[in-house]
Amino acid sequence: MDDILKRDIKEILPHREPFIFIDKVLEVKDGFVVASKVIKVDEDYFRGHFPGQPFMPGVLIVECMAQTGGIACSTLNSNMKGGIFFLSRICDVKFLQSVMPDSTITMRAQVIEKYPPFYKVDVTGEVDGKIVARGEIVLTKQEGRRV
Amino acid sequence: MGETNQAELYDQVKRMIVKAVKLKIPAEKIENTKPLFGPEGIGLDSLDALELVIALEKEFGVRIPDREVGRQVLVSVETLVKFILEKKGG
Repeated sequence: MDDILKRDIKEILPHREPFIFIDKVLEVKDGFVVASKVIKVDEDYFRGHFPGQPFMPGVLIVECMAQTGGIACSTLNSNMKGGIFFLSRICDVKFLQSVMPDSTITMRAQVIEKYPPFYKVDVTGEVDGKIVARGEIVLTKQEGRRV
Repeated sequence: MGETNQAELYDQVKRMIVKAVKLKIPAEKIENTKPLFGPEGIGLDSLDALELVIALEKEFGVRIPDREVGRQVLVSVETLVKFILEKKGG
């Protein structure tokens, strides 16, 4: 499973630009993943969110955590292939701090329950060791749609 | 299991459903044989199945191992009660 750490993110995620919200997978175990994303100053959404006071939209922080959760779910399959995980539910996610341009967000995702095709995942986002968002999400696996 | 205890179990399962999926109808309004899902049912959607599986294990210590079993058990309050009794040896 550790070979995932050396693989290009496009080999792991079914997403493609401009909707890849993970740069690197840092740690992986059965049902657990740590990943990171550098939030660059020139991210397009900063132009509007907000002019002169840029910070990362909460929905995109959720997307970072959901993509990490998708990888965590796929670790429960031996070949880590064969399906796309869709975000189906966002349960009580809290946003505790703003994520500013030129920072690195680290996401942790732990699968806490599964009833395939549904997977409940505990997720957090951290910047500089401080939790910026946390909550639970439900991902649904759709078979056979892997890019 | 005596009739009183079984009636209490039915009530307990109904309360569990309401709490687990944040159902808008009171527990006592749920009929024992009314479908949980589908157009004729009490209004649960497919994602609620996961919440029921979690709640069943938490409240009654019984686990639905897969969707095959789930399709037979997550049908009505009555099928849930029968499953709990079967697993608990009642």
